[in-house]
Amino acid sequence: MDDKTKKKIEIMQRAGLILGQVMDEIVDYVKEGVTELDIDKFAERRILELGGEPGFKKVDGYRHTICASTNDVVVHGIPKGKKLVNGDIFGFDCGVYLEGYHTDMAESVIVGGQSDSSRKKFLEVGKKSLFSAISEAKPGNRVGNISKAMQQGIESNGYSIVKSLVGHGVGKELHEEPEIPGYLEGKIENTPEIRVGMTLAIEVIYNLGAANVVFEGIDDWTIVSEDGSLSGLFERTIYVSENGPRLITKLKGDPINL
Amino acid sequence: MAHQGSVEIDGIIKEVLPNTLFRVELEGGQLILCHLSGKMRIHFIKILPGDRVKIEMTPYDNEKGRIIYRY
Repeated sequence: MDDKTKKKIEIMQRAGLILGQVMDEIVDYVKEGVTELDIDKFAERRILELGGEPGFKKVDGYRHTICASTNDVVVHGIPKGKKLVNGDIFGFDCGVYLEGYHTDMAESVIVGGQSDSSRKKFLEVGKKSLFSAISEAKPGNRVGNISKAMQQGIESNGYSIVKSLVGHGVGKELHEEPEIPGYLEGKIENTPEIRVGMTLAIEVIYNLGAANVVFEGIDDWTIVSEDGSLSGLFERTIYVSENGPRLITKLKGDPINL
Repeated sequence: MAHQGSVEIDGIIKEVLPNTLFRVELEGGQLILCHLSGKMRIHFIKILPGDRVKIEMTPYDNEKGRIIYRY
């Protein structure tokens, strides 16, 4: 790894610490009666207090700190004033920008923590698939290995991978090459190589029902599942070291060997 | 923040413009402006009107594309 890459990773790790901490605090903050907007304002305040900048505000046309994706909202939900209800699947996506670099992270939780076992399983499967996909991000592998692991984890449990939305490289820009789909199309050998020093935002975006997603139609951002089924979202920013993937953004409970 | 994945679509070269730009007609009839991918430049692959090509498009701009393969 050259000095420029080491510097990039060092800055992103500091940004990742801020982001991970804020995300952990959001998990505790989420409860029935709280609105998506409350959470958005909370996240922004905490990021600024910890010395970072809300990365999503740098996205052209986006004016919030988080994306709030509740229940059938898949991604890019603009935080609304509607109160969360126990049992809701609340997915939140957030980014911290620091000294020229972005980090990106997402998590889904059940509001109130208690719910029927099918919702708990839905989220457990997603999170597990994310980490099994992340563990494929080692030098010598290809993006296709990551995609295949994610697809297997999700589809083997009967859920659908959303095909039109992808993970991505991350660094000076929030969205960089390569695209990291949650499913494998074509041969692994035809997908980009994974090299030491790469910084990637690997995310699993999946639905309980069918894979199709559509724009909700109320704003230019919110994407919902076409059949109205629940959607889950988990994302971590990692860097590829000589020995394999390492988490830049970490939540309490994430695997420690990464 | 999730990224909308780019799509691959077929088209036909309608016009060759200066600076290796091309006007391409897509399967649905739309005319878009395309440039040549780096790999095709390096291998000196010549593109002429009437050629069938594969285009990569980003969902964020549906008037531009990148020619990635000539059939």
